[in-house]
Formats: sequence, C-alpha cells, structure tokens
Amino acid sequence: MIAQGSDMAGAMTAAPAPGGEPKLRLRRWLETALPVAPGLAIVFAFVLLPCLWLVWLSLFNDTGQISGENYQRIAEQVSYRRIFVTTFSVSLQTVLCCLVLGVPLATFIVSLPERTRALFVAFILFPLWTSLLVRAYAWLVILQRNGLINSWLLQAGLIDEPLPLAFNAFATVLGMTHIMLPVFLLPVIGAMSGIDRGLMRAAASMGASRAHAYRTVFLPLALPGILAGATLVFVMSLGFYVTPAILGGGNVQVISMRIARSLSTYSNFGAAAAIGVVLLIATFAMLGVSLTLRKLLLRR
Amino acid sequence: MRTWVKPLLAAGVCALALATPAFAGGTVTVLTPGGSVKDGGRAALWGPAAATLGITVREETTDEGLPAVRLQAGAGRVTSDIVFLSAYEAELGGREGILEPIDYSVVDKSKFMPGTTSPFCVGIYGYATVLAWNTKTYPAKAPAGWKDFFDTKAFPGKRAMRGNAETQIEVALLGDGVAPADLYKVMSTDEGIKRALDRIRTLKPNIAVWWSSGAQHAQLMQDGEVDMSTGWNGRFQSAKKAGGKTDYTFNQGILATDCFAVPKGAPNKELAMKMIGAMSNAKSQAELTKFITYGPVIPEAFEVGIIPPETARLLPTHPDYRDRLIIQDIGWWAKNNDRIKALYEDMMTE
Repeated sequence: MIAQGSDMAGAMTAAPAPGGEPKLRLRRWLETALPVAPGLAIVFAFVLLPCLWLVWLSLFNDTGQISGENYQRIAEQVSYRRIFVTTFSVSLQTVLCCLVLGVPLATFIVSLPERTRALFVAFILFPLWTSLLVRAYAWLVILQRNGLINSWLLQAGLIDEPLPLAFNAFATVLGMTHIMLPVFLLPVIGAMSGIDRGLMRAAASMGASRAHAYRTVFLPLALPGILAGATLVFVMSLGFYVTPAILGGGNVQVISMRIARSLSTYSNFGAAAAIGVVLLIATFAMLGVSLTLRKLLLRR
Repeated sequence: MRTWVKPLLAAGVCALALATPAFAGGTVTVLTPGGSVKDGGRAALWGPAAATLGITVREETTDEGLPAVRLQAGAGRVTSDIVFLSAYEAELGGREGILEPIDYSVVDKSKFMPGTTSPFCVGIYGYATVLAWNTKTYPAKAPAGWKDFFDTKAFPGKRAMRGNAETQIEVALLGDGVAPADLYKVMSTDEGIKRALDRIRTLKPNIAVWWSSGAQHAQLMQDGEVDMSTGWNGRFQSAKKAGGKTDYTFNQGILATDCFAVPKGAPNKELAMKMIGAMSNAKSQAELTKFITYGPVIPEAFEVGIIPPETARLLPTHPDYRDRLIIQDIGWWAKNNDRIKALYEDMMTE
C-alpha cells in the first residue's frame, strides 16, 4: 500500500493540480492515507485475497482439473436452488420479525428517560453475550414435542396432540430472530434517539394526531437506521449455520449447511467454494437492492 | 531429592522400552482416530501384536482418516504405516490409488465374516444401522423390521431418518419388501433407486427430523422426540442405558465396518502387513469389546471366553443376529454415492 502511495505522490508532483501547493496536497494526502493503510492492508490480506482464492478454488473439480463442474452442479441440481430459496426466505422472515418486534420496541425505548433507557439497552445487549449454541438448545427444550409449551398445553387440555413447534422453519426463524433482534435494535435506537422531539410537538401543534405524526414525521426520519438494521440482519442471517441446523432438524436446509457437508463429509473444496462464491454474489445483489431501496425511499 | 529421581527413573524406563524392541527390528506407525479406539487398540490390538513380533509401535492421531492419507500422499511424504479407516473410506482410497493392496498371504482372510475384508482393508469391528423405537409409544407390539418402520397405520408416530442417503436407501428398499439377497441388485437399477426414494417420499409427512449425527439420533430417542428412528446400534444402546424409553432390534440391521489399511508408499509396508496379520485374531478382537461396544468381525471371537454373554448380546455380530444382518456393499456406495446423494438431497428438500 505504501509503495503504491509513493507512486501516486510522484504522479502528483509531476502534474500539480491548479489551486493548491503540491507539497501541501501531498502531505494532506499522506495524512489521511497513512493511518488508513494498516486497516486497508488487513482488509486486503484477510478479506479480499481469501475471496479471490475462493473463486480460484471453485474452478477446480475434485480430481484437481479446471472445470465449470461446480457451478454446473449448482445450476442443474434442484436441491441447490431450493436451498438458496430456503436460505433467502428464512433470512427475509427473520428481517420481517425483527421489523415487527424491533421498531415498536425501539420507539418505546427512546421515549424513556435517559437512565431507564440505558437499562433497557443493557437488557438488549445481554443476549449478545450468550452462546448461539446454548440459545438454540434452550429453544429446543421449550419447543420440542415433550417440551415446556407442549406439556403445558397438553396438561391444560387445550390440545390433544403435541404441536409441531420444533424442527421446522418456524423454530428456525424464531431462534434467528432471538439472536438478530439486538443487532437490529442498536442502529435503530441510534437513529431514533437522534430525532428532535420538537418535530413531533410541531406536528401535533399543527393538528396531526399522534399516530399520524409518528407515521409521517418520526418514521421517515428513523428510516436510514431501520434500513441499516434490516440490511445487517438480512446479510448476517444468510450465513447462519448453528441455529438452522439444530432448530431446523434437517427440514430447513440452508447454504452454510451444504457448504459444511461438502467439506466435512466429501472433502470437496471446489464444490464448497463455488457455493460460497454464489452466496457472495447473491449477497452483493441483495445489498444493491437494499441500497436502491434506500435511495428511493429517502428521496421521496 | 525426590524431584529428580522420578524423571530419571522414567527416562531410564523409556530408554529401555525404546532400546529393547529396536534389537528385534523396526517401528510401525499407526494412525488412529484417538479416544477409546486408540486406548482399546493399544491394549488389545497393536500392543500384543508388537510384543509378539518384537517391534515398536508409534501412534498418531487424526480426526479424519482418509483426508489425512490424501494429504500424506499428496505431499509425497507418507509417515503412517497402518491407518484406521471406515470401509467406505478405504474403498475410495483404493480407487484413488493411495492405498496398498493388502497382502493376504500374511493376513488370514478365512477367519473373517464374509464381506468384512476387502482388497485394501481388513475389518476390525462392525457396527450396524438398526431400527429403534419408543417403548412407551408401542407398548403392545414392537416393530420387527424396516417394513414396520414405513407402516404408519400399524405404527403411527413420528420418524427420524438420516439426512444422508448412505444406509437409508437400503432401509427404504427392505421396508418396501425387497429380499436382502436382492438388495444391491435392485439398488443398481434406476427403478430400484426411484422405488427407494418414493418409499421415503410417502413417509415424509411423518419424518420429523433428518438426523446428521449419532449423538443426535440417540438424543431424539432419549427425549421421546420421535417414535422410531434409524441409527447406530451403539448409540441406541447408550440411550436405552441412560433410561430412555428406547429399544432396538438387530433384525435387518445393516452392518458396516472400520478397518486397517496401509497407505501407498508406507515406510514399513511389509512390517505393516505382518502387524495387520498379527492383530487379526479372535482373542484381540474379543479383548477390544472391553473398550468399545462394536462387534468383532472374526466370528471365533465370541467363542474364546473373553466376552461375557450379556455384553455379547449387545454386539451386532453376535452369532444369533448374524443371519439377520445385511452386510453393506460398500463398493456399491463408493461407486454410486455422488449420484445417489444428489437424488436424496433433491428428495429431502422437496
């Protein structure tokens, strides 16, 4: 990175831009570039290079020959398409649950006095420190056939047959929402607490009902935070492994599980890498959609 | 003074231990999965065999047998002489050309149950995929075989099957009435595979869980989460012992083995073959059951008076069960797994 920097500096001194002392501009440039350089170097070495390596790996079949076999398999085998659909649908459902639960909760929390608010934020942060695995098994204890909910309902005589609560998409989305809700809440609370309360009062003074003011003044101002939270939750949900594996009981097959199986059971690195590359591209596509959505919504 | 006596003594003993066999000739390196298999192997298999042959055994441990052999072969530096593999891994390794053919002039094949030795691997013990059920759900009449597993009228309730085709195709066809003798003939036709998958498809509304590990299916039975499950006999025995309302049958169990193989280019290939020959005896395999509840694949092991009768009944290769077991054709799986697993995954995600 530093070598590249000095090259560019050379180009700058050769052709000084109008309206600025070249030496001063170089110094300014270095002042921003140097502190960023270590960070950029780490991103390059540990994010960008591995991604490129992944793409490279995905081009080889299990006998070590270059081929498009791995991508062809993804395109042709029906279960891959279904697994991608399941992964995106489970992630989207998690986002929706976070929106439905998170937006009112965040609104409530920011309306609290300073000290109580801090307490609530601490409550939100607590689950983040609990292991994913523990939380997934805890849900299993609650949801399974002889679990808490079913035994209560059976004893109360409300049902005759245990409800199928565990080992399905419902349990998976529930478990994932539990894990992702704090991740969603933090940016939303951040955005909402920055909103000037006076604006709501101004709306009320001009005759808007509370609900109307909330919808037309408060929510649009909180939107950037809500979108950021939703995007974060969605992208993180795409890579979930432990929760769908335990709470899905094999009925919810997601991409990460297929990647793990390609590696651990069949030690086929090419196949696993190809799924990773497709997931990465799909994730970027979703980010693109989210950014466009953001632009459209915010422009209005 | 005590502080230095102990290490010194230990060093002396070590030096002796290392020095004595060196005169007799050679070291063999055994690559094992570790744990009770390693402890049992040392006490029952290579310990006694090394003493007989007057050689030293070095132990290496790995989680994954075949990938470890692949790595050694790929790096051109093979360090292991004998490796523990599943019969399936050995079949793949043989196809890939990274295993030595077993020298059956020094290993006596005739002692073994048919189907438990292969060109590249010599069986150590067998474990079976069996049918387990909840004794509370079916108190009157217990299911007797795979037909009952698929019979949701006579045996209503939730099922668990493996999220991986291996052994489940056999289960489905046996459940559909295919005779054990015709099993692999039927599996070698496209109609046979379709028949198996369709059999599972009709059961799908009753399949609550697709299990992915032995620990999982044992837990499912122990918790009463499902009423019937396919799975490994040892795991169901643990669930039963832990007080789960679980029982299982060896009837139509599908037997697979773990075995000893020799990597191609092993530094002490000939000695390795001799060692495998020396370890392949009834007494050693019987002693091994004190450490792990897997079944000896040398039938005589049940006759040497080492395995107590009550333990013997827990082993899948017990003489009483032998005729009812199906010995898995692992060669078929090595040849077909890629194709079958894709079809199975398609069926699962439908």
